Amino acid sequence: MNQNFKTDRSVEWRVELRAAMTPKERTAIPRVKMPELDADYRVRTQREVNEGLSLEQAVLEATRCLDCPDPGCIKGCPVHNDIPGFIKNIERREYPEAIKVLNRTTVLPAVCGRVCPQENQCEASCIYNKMKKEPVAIGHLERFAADFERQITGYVPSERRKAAEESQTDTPRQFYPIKVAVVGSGPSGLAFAGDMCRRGYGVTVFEALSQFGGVLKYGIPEFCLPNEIVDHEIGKLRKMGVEFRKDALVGATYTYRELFEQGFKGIYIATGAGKPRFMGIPGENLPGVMTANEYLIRLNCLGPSIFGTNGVLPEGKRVAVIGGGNTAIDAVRFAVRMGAERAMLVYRRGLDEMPARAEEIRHAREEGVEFMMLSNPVEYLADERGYLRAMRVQKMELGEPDESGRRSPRPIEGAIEEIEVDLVVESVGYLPNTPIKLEGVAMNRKGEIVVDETSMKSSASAIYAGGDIVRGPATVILAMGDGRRAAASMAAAFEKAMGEIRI
Amino acid sequence: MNEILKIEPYSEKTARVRILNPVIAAKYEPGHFVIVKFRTDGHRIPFSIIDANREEGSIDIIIHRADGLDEILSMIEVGESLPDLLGPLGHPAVIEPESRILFFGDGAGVVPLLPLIRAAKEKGCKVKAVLSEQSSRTQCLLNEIQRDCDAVVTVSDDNMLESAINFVATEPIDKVLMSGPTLMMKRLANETKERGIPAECILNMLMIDGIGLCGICRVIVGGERKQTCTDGPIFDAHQVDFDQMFNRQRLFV
Repeated sequence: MNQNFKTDRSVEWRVELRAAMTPKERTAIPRVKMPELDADYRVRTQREVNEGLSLEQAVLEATRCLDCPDPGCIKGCPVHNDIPGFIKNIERREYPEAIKVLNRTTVLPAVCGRVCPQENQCEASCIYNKMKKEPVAIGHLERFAADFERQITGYVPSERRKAAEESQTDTPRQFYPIKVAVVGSGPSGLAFAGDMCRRGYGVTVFEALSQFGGVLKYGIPEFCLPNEIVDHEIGKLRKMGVEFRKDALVGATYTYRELFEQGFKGIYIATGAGKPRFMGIPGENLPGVMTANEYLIRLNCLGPSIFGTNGVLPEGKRVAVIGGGNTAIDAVRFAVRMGAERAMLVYRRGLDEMPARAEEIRHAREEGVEFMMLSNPVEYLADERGYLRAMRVQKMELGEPDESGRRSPRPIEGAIEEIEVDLVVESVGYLPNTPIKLEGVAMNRKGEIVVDETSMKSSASAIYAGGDIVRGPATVILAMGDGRRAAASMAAAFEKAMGEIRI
Repeated sequence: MNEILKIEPYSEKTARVRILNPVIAAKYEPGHFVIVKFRTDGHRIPFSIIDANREEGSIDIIIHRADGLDEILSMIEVGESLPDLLGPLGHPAVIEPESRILFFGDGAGVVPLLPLIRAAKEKGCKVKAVLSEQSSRTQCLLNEIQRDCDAVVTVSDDNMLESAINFVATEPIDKVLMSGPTLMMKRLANETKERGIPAECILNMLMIDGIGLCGICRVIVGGERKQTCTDGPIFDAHQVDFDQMFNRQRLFV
């Protein structure tokens, strides 16, 4: 299936383009630097930090790509984007063509171009690494292509606009009389919906909350991923014919059985992993201690007013975020923007062991976040009124590597520090959003759905699952990859069944 | 969907609001609640479902005068559609048929008792209620409660607890169901616990998503962390750590 999406490297324009410059000339070009807002300025706004490549920067960066005969980058991408295929279209300045290539394999190019950990995926497999040079900035270019498409409509006249619009709508058609249901509108559900719709099935996405996008909306802040971009990608799916239903908590509003009774022939469960873990230490229910979810949902979607009159708004406060993942970094950078007096990131391992993306860590440093490494809170203390006053932090040192390969932290005896704080945000991991009243589907002890890894099929017929509800908290792109695999195997199962009926 | 069919004012600041939502109406059981957004950019607010009409496909909620909720009544009109209505949420109440149940309600806490009182009546229970007459705020709900109760006692705030304790001490009771201010529930929980009478409380906590993601409605029940939205809203009153709950709630008043 993925092979079908790969563009032909031997078409005339591409051969000519490759011949236009020698590899030596291409590799001599330094990697582009993403223009970003100045740290002093950006901490006072919600504006997106990365500004995006200019046209000329994008074309120059695209020129670096050698259009390898056996490109490693495609293999490094969980959804197998045809990376040289879209990059070469940028080099020849056919931007609508570039996005068309991407649209074949991904429904969220503008999102992935921003939040994917490219340094561990496509860019890690770039040939430039073997030459001890910085890889082609694939993520920046993907973002460029998607942003160009989004922004072009309206002011670029004639053919180009038409081409761009065509690439947006991408042949909506349902030619099978079969409809499928998707539970959850996060990246995995959206990827599945896009693929099934393209294959000709009727698709309805059920979302419990009032906005579509899941973690992309409720979790990732505006300054990393503007909501407008997520809405645009969802708008594209709507245009293709995907139906979206909000305020629909499957299991409560509709049961799984009812979905089948309503005529859905297959269900893809992509509920994610969004239930917060807690530190489980004394004082965690004090006023002033909250989960990263509470904090981020409030700031992302509700505005600060709901914080109440006794105010847990970070403004003027000493804020400590506990954890070392991307969510923790997002939360602490949000605190900086909300005017925190101190914004501390408290992590029990060292900087090198942090799971957060390198770029996010750098941005946080530039913005004045205090990194309190090898520190683990053991208790939150109250003042005489019963409000959070301080935390007791156990200093740690690194021992032997654990099963994750990271050196495991252990407490240094007697090294406990008391740090005054006004607000603590715990961001120490997520538990699965275990589907409600789902019967006959095998789950593991954690409440994650067990699936066949290649087909993403669960133990129940016609129920597939993917994303964080299967693999535990992971990345947007892995969740999308699951959605695409599930779509491929569910469609194959339908087509096999239909074939048998015809005979 | 979500069209406001009727607004029945009970008093200046309290009204019963009927909303069209056949899906939720069909699933409703007493004890369920919904999360409502009155404006697209507004807050998500939990409301007990007071009643449902399956034929009409509607549910009723009561918007009761409380901090921050007054203004909602001036914002809504019959005929308009609410942007968001999510439900039914929470676990329904467990009511043993033909049992003797005593309800305690105080202030806005009376509202979530209404559907349970009616359900108890329908199940042939012997139903009594002690309601505090906190100013005239609950007065408007009294008729409805009287209709379904074998006996209703209204008391002033000052002797609420005493009356309650009197009842508990003298009447044969299988279960107490309470809803009201945290400190009242704490004391009632202690009294019933001492006398070995089962007691449940309906918690009214601030919620954001209502599906277990934010953790804001967490309470300690029997030493374990529970979420009011997904594990409640009805808990064993003898197991709830009311002190911790009270301390947390102050933040949101």
